[in-house]
Amino acid sequence: MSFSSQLILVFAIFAPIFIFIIVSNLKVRRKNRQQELEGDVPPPPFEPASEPPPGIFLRRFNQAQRVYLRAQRATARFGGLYAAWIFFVLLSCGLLPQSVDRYGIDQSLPQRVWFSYLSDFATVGGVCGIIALVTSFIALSNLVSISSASFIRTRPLTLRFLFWARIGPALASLLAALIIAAACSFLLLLALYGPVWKHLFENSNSVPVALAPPVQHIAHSNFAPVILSTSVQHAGTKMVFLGSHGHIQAMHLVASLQTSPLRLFLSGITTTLLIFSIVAVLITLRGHFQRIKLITIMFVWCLVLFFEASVMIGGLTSPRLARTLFLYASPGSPPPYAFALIPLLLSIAFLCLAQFQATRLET
Amino acid sequence: MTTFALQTHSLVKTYGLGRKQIRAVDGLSLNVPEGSIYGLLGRNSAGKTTTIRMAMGLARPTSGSIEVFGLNPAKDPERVTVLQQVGYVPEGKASAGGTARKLLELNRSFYPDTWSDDLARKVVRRLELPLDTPSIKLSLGNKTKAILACAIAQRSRLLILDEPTTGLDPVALDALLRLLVEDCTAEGRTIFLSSHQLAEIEQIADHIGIMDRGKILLEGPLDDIRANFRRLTVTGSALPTSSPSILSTKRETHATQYVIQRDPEAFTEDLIRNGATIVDSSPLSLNEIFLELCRTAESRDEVLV
Repeated sequence: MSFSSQLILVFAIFAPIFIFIIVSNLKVRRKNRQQELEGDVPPPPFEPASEPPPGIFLRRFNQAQRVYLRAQRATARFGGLYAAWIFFVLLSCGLLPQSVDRYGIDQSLPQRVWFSYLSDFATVGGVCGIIALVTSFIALSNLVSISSASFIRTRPLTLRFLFWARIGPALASLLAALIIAAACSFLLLLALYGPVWKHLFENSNSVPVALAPPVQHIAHSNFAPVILSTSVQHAGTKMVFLGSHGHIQAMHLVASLQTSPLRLFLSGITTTLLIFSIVAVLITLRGHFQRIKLITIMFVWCLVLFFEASVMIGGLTSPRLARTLFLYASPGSPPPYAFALIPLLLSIAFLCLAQFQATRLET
Repeated sequence: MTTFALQTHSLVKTYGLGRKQIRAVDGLSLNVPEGSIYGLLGRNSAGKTTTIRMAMGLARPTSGSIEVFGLNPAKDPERVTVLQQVGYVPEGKASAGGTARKLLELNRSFYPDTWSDDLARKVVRRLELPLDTPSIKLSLGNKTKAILACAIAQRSRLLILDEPTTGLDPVALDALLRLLVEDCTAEGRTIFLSSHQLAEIEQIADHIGIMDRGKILLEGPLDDIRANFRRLTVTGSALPTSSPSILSTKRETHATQYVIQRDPEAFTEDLIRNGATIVDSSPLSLNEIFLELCRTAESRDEVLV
């Protein structure tokens, strides 16, 4: 990614925070000015509004539970929106002209755009991990901290409910953020460049197999490498000639053809779940393990950063580990769908362990 | 028959392992009668907060038992039933954040059957609680007021207050004590408050428990405790050195000073019968009783070590 793209990226990610701070400050100033004009007006008395009628989802809970869920939902909505914005920015920055041309190789626009989009989609997996870590920390730290949790843990709600009422909205907002961001970035791709994945063979030196020169001839020629592929829009197998210095082009094109956007997306979700649940287990550590809590969280943080770095540099993660945990961090051959079950089951197990720990009393 | 809002039997709570193990509560047996104002007194690290945390279902007892209205607060769903009937002001005064108004609104929704908006307004007015100041800008005293307002307005059967006067100025303190006596006990509710501020406890409590190093040193109705404790200054020969009635003995040049912890009349009669002269007989204040008990317990522990 070019320097200007990185600048735009950083600015875009942090812009909502700056806007929020500025707007809040303006509101406070306006309120203060109004108070100065009005003089000392006593605050309105405590007149609470009655509870709004519960929706279909909240109807099954009692009032105390509904109130708690509403509060969690409001926080999750706010966090989810920001997470969605970050994901959207990261997914869409690959569509910037600077990003599309970042490799400087001679490919058609659809090839460059699609590869750039897929590359950024893959790196979002690492970002998902970081955001999942932060979300898990925010969601659970107030529930298990001895000082700050004493208020909510002494309200008439079961500890199991308290745990899932925090985990549920946080996780749902995170996953919803990923889905919304993926959908929006895909729509942006369509709006800016159209269905580029359908035009990967256009403007490349491709001929039907029947018209292609013999393989022995190709092997001794300057036209290397050669790709056999099935093109959707052109019936039949085609041969693509990439030129004499086309090995990077070939890698990109092969990766673009092999990459499964659906599995990339699924990998983002499983990575999010896995990191979220691991951090949940660490945060809810109690008793004798409490001392090592901070160290282990820092360790996981480093691991996530390492993973992120390995994604960016490429090839640092063990292929077997990546496949087993369904970590799909770069365009190319996708792991089989069945492997997605491993992080999914691990996440469920970790969340159950976290629930067990969070619902334990001080020992 | 006396019913108890809170009872503990041989309650033990330890923290840590091996050599670093701390016995925060050590075989504690408390009986808090329903409808009473019970003051749990103790020095720092006496185990008051740990006991309260176990009563609130925040900590699990290591051994022994604790019951709130006959229910076990360490186990769901009994814990939830306990919490529906208990208002709590924690030691740290940490709340859910936001303004006091938001906190009251939030807490109101947790107790729809017992909450009183009128009482909430009354507490806010009496304590002069700023409703719209964000929690991070509130002073410790105002944070305490906000939590107190929540706990009082929920009109629970039992109100557990852990150091409820932290940060309160004398005016607010007076208003709080009045509120507790007027509005809480009038409806037959039980108040269990822990403190090391003896003067304020003495003003409102009718039952007292004194704790030190995890153990209960004394428990009972405040009037009975006051009646049982007496300082006697005595002269004469062959004065007793030990008796179940004597808490402490102090020998001075011309007289001996006894602090009596039970049946002072009988002990005085015994002394007179044995030829002693009572120079002075005076009652002890709660503060003096507390100090005597703590010092005696400390010197006993030193002898044992």
